[in-house]
Amino acid sequence: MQELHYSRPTTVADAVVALARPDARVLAGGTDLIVQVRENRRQVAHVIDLKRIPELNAITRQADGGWRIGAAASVGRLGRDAAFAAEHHALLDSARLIGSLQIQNRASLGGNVCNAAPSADAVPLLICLGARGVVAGPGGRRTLPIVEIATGPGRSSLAAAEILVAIVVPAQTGRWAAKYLRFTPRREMDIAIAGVGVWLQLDQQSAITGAAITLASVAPTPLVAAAAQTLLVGERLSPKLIAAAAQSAADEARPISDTRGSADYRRQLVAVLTRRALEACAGELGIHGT
Amino acid sequence: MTSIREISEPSLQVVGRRIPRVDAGERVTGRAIYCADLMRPGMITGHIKRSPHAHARILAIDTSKAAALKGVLAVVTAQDFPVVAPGTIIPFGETGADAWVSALTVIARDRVLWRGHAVAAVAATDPYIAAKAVDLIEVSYEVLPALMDIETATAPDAAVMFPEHKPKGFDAANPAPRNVGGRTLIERGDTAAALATAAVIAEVHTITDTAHQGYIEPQACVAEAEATGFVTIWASTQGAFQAEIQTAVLLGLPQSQLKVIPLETGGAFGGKITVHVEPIAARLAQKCGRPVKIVTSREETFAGGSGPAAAARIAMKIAADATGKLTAIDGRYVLDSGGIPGTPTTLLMQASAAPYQCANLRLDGWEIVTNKPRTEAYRGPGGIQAAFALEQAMDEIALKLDLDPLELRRRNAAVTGSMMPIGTPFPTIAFTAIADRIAAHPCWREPLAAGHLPRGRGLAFGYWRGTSMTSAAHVTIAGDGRPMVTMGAVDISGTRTAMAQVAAEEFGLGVADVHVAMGDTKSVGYSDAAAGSRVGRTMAAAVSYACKDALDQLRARAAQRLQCPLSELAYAGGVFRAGAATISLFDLMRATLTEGAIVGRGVSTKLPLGVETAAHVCDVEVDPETGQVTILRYTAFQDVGRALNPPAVEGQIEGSVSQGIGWALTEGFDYAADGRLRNASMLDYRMPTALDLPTINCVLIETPVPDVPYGVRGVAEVPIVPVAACVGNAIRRAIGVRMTHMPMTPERIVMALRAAATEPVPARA
Ligand SMILES: Cc1cc2nc3c(=O)[nH]c(=O)nc-3n(C[C@H](O)[C@H](O)[C@H](O)COP(=O)(O)OP(=O)(O)OC[C@H]3O[C@@H](n4cnc5c(N)ncnc54)[C@H](O)[C@@H]3O)c2cc1C
Repeated sequence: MQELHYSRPTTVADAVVALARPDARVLAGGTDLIVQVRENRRQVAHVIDLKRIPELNAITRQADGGWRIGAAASVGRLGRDAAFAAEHHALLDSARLIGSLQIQNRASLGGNVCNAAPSADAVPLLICLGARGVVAGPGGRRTLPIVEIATGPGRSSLAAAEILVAIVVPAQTGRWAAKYLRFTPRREMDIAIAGVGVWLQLDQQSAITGAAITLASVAPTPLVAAAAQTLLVGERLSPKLIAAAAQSAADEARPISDTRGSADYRRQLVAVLTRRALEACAGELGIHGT
Repeated sequence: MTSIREISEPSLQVVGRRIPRVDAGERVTGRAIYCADLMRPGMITGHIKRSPHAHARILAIDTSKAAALKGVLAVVTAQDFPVVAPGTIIPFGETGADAWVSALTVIARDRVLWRGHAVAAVAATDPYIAAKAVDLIEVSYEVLPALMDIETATAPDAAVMFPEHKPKGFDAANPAPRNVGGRTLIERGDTAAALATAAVIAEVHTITDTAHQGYIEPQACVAEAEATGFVTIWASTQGAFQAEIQTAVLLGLPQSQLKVIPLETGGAFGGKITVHVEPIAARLAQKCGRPVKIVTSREETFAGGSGPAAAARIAMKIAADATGKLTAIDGRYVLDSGGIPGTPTTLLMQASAAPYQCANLRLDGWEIVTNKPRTEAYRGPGGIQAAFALEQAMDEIALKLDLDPLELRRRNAAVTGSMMPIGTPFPTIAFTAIADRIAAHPCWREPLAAGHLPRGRGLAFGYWRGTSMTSAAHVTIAGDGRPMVTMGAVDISGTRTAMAQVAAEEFGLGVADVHVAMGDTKSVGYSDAAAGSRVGRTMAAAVSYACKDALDQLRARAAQRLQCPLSELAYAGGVFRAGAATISLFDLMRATLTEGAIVGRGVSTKLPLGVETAAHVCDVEVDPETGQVTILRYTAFQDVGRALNPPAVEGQIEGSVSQGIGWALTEGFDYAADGRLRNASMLDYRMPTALDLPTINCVLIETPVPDVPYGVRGVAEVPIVPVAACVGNAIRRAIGVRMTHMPMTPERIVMALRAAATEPVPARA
């Protein structure tokens, strides 16, 4: 019989201590972890449930207009925060691609980030929005950009005894819009063959002052399409510009071929989804004819 | 889901009415008992050791470490089972079956034939110990080259999997290529001449990937051995008697010493006729004296622990004159049997030619062995593959002649009395009636509205022969006068409800006044499996005969009680009447219970065939950039003979169409060259979800089968037959590209469009 110890600390400090044990693993919604343990893909001896720690469940708007999302807060709860939903509907839409309503009532953004799957659907827009992670460990607290957390499939840059406490989404200024699109052969309960998150910021003359594009499922980690971003900044949206950015993103993708899709097909999807996401942002920003 | 039922039979009171399933409550509340739910005193867990190689010789199996593990109570390998020689024919279905196939499927003896093939098993006091014990079993293998597809297996230098096997259909002058299981040729007229003089020829070469039936409940059973040697097995099976005979032969046990009790079945679709776990659990139980439960995991079920549906390659060439009249059907069919020869090809071949009248046929069917799990039946086995080739070729003829695809089919449709491919005349067959219904239906009459993305409408016909075989039931009358029916067939599709309707109809009672139970193999007469669309129709006959027999016995008693001649006795609604004198069933049984039991006997054998015909129409929208197909509208027309319970029939059609759409668009096994199944999970083996499926509209047409009680026709297989062709034809009409590889995944559609874009433009669109 395989033994499993379960604890439910109520403070971050206690959680960090508990996590110092060998084969310890934190649990938020468990929608990744429990599946991995059941399928023998992860050996776990101590499960440390984070859902009783108040700080990890809080969803708060900060004085500067940014949002601090407790790492274990469920996607379901996030969606029920009307102010958050109004401001960050694109991010919320991406998180609502996760599983089904039942899954979303357990699954957290922190889990989506720390599980470090290249296909994680909520991560591309967190990266595009410039979100940072607040991490606590035996040595105290630090923050780092979300983009620096995943280092490979299932591997993160967090130290063994570190936990993600919160995700901070900075205040968004000016005219901006974001959109995440993924492609799955099945309409739900499926994993992205490719995904593209896009964020655009315009000045009053509709010149692009900021652009972010992050790709899912086409590299070992979520991938920032830096060249495509550079192409956009300083320009005005046009079909030609959008096509060029889409092509650049496809060129920057580093997909593999596997049972879910060939590299070739994934590249084509990146181009299509990038174009469509940019068009959706343009539409939301009132720029037509793209 | 909507339905239109075209005809009703006013004289029937209960049969044909929309009745909720008698077992619906216990199913939806979770009270129904499946094998995994069953608990027996002292029961322990069985677990199977499976091959990590697709093709290998077993050099040695060392079970000593596993046997020594605390908590392990029994270990078995093939050495614990008698050798069953090839050609050990057991009575089974229409033609008998070779028990050697079952034996080899259940456990490998000297070589493994696919990855996941069972090589040993343990029984232990808990599942963790059982899993650990399985890891402790050491098997040494000599790995052989894996033959993972038809090309590799038939290559001139391929390793021969069954050197001793002599395939049918070949001789010294005409030797078989390597790894051919057998060949069947059906010929009529002069196909070569007809092709040479045809006004138009359409040729479509299709590939169908291996797919799984996708039943929710994996293979499972509980086995218990008594000290007397008597063995009881609780099974998830389509046929208790078929499970019994296979298990008895594999254990070397007389059939009288074995009882199979069928429990609720969580889906089967053809995949639960061959036993997989029953003989293993029984042998483990015999060895340790404790009841043993085996429940396979989803991954085991996908990857070697069950039999999926055959992959196929079909080269279909059809010819027509300038008016669209078919002059030749020339089909070459190659089925991938997986690891053991014996996949029947003839039903598929017939399904691919039967819908149309055609003087010249050449149907050439091959089956090939490869190192994949041995394939088993799946809902009209071969039908969907056959129609995928034939009906897309028909669509090509329609395009080439610029003919309405419905009109083309109507001109050629098989009619009552026209020749079946095998040369006998068709019994009543309703393709023309179906075509008339389609022509008048909005799904065909209304033009397809343009959308943002390309759209197309597809049509396909489907045919399935079905079978009859034998069914038994008996009815006793309870002390309160209520009929109690016990049937020999397993209920996998609402059979208890339909049979309650039949019994209620026969006795003039309500459904709530009769009781129908599934018997086990020691409490009811032999019946064939719930397969081949046979149970509803043949069991309805058996129940009807049994009820009539019981009523005759009751009538004699009633006449005696009422002191009247039999000829003056009338019966209706549970009451016997002679002039003014009456006696109810209740009073009659109260008065005569101790005079002896009433037992009505019903056996139906080889009922006239009720062929199944259907035609489907669908509208699709295709996103050419991602390859995603959206099914906008789906209408299924089907001749159902008589719908005993219309919602149950519609359920069969909706389920079939759902499964067909899954295989058409996303379901297919992806094997690596070394035999590993790359998508052995519900995540990557993509069965459709509710969001992927349209509303499925059913149009039931009722053409009763003559000389069959209630005129019932098989209904459960033909509705999967036309689906992939119907969707494929709609895709072709939407994007101008013929998709010939099933499943027609988004990626395959994108790649086909790309290939078409670089091809020179054909002379005719
Ligand atoms: C049916 C189903 C469908 C799904 N569909 C999707 C989908 O469409 N898209 C998608 O992106 N995902 C999907 N998932 C995966 C999963 O639901 C998401 O990744 C989810 O966001 C994980 O969150 P969780 O809170 O459940 O994480 P958990 O399972 O609790 O944790 C995941 C991992 O992160 C670690 N972890 C969690 N929180 C922290 C923390 N605060 N600090 C440090 N490490 C931490 C855990 O130790 C574990 O290794 C699906 C899962 C299921 C079961």
